[in-house]
Amino acid sequence: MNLTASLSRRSLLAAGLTGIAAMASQRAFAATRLSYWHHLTSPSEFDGLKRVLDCLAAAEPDLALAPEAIPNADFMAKFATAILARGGPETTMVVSERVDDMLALGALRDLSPRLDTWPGRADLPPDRWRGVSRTGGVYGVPAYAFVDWMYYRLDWFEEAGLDGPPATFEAFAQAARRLTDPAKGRFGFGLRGGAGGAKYVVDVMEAFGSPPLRDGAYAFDRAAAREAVGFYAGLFRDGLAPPTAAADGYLQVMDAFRAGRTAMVWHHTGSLREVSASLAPGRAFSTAPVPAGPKAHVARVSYACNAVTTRADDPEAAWRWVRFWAEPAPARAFHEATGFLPASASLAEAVTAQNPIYRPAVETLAFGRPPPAFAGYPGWASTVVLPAFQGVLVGNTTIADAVDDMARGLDAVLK
Amino acid sequence: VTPGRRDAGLALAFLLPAMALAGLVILVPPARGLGLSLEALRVTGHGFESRFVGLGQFRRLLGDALFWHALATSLLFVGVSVAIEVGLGLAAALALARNLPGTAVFAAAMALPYFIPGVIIGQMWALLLDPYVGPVNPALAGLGLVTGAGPAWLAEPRTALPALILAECWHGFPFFTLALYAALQRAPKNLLDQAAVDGAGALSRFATVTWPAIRPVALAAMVLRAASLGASPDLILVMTGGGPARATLVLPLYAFETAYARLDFGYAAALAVVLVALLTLPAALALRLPALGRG
Repeated sequence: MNLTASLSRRSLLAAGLTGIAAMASQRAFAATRLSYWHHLTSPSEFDGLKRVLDCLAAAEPDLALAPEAIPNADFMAKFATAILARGGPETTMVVSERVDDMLALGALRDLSPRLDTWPGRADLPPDRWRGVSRTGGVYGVPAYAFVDWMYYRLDWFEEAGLDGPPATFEAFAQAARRLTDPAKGRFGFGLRGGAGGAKYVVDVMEAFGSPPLRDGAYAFDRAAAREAVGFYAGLFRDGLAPPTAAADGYLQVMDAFRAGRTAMVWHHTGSLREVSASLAPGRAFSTAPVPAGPKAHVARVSYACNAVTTRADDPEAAWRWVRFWAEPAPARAFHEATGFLPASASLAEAVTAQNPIYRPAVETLAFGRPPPAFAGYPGWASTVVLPAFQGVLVGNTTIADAVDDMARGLDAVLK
Repeated sequence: VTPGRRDAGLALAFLLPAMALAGLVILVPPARGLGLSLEALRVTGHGFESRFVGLGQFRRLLGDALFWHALATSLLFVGVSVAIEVGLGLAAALALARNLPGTAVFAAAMALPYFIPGVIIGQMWALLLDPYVGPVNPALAGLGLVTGAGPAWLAEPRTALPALILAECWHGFPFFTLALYAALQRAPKNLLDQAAVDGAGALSRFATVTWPAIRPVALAAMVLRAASLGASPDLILVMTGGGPARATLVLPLYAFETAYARLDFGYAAALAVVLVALLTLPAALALRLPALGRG
């Protein structure tokens, strides 16, 4: 049969139009696909995200999320590279320490016009927005909270005749001394001197009266910082922390606590599920607010937020996703899977009332402060503060020289 | 136009798309990197700075103590690792070349570490060397070499770099074993036999017959391995992150943290340019060696 004879011009046109109509209808009914980068890592966090996405599929069937997990340590590397190459995700998880760097890269969209008309905002008090608000713009929607606190071995405290968790640095050092027993392989404190440890050095310096910035102005006080580094490194030098402290990151300090090698460890509410899986809450361990320093009681309260990037082709769809996580059903689902406190005020109140182990977190919410946030802060903390502090721990440098290094590094960042 | 010229023109026309693609893939990224190294491209307290500074980043580099420290650490790490790996690899290759029963199985088992990704090797060795959960310190204590929990290998500047070298050598020596074992198959057996008949000892036979035969392969393998070690800090990143107190900060890691922790892309590009130049130099020198040329 002759092909040209069988395909008349009219039938070809009809077939073409049918094809175009089919494609158009498919497009109309296809879900909008959004890319989303996050830095969740533990199995419980992945389970939490899955539950949130299940809620999303039920509530917003026309939105399809393509989540991509990036290890926290590599997150800014990948994000900055992608943005500079004019790529990157349409939506992203963002924490307050990174907002300034992301804004400097021109990566985030201001959500304030949309927030003005969003009823869900009423359940998110003003403190939730501090970390993502800059000069009139709001660059994320809070999803869940990181509330700093301390885990301590309740059974060891009772065994040592200690009344309760220490409330001040001085009492903390005394308790650590009482609980350190080399014969039993026990140390008073799981000091994090490796990856991620800079945060605690900065916090202790602030508790001694030397924050990097105060109200946006340079406030680093070398004398106070020297005192702080002396106190904090002293815990290690006096043998109250494991000898591996200079290299210990999250995994090592939490493993040591769970395995019964350390009596106290500082972290945030996000590790409660993990600790509870190894030790009985309320019997083997309990929680307490981070002790107060001589000049300030520093415990961070920050929120993991979701943001729309400047790469989003469909900002409306992206906005619908980033606000979704803050709503009651997904927020509860994530909390149930992970133990993280939700950003929603009503939900946070409900879950903390149900579980007394959260009481210190509720106390901390009242006085806690946001982490330092300025462009260059994460880099300063990880590449200047931490190596300088490690130098003191391992005896390579003096406290004065380490603090001078930190001050010079801060000057360079703020210049 | 002669037929020869017409053929050459035609061949060029056919080759041009492939050459253009290869050029794009091979030349554009380094050219972009070189371009970045001439700019101040970084995040500052006032936003994203982007301006042309010429050779300014390279001048800055000369006065940067951390750069010189990272360079010295890199040279030590690469030099010692390659020396140990080539020694171990040669010993293993000579043992395999004796073709004893089970050699094939033994060779396959020996090659295994080389095919494990560096990130996994790093995690594995970090666990092995952990004084509380790893088996290394208890084994040393059993031999009476350490007391108590033993040294915190990765937390002390004196031991962190040697520990990394140990892990890297375990990972890398099979590369030399395989390369040198293949080269040994080319060693002239008749000359070895004659030398033995003439009363030459094992060392003398190795120096005069075996080594000259495998030298080109050994040099090429050393250059390749040095380039690979010098350029990829994945194992160091996993095991120590450059610490403690920058004791294991190597040049590629310094460039990485400059770019992605300090968000100073221009200076990181300058560090990368220097790194590439340093890695290319030994390769260029080695290619000019007569021994390698003959190979």
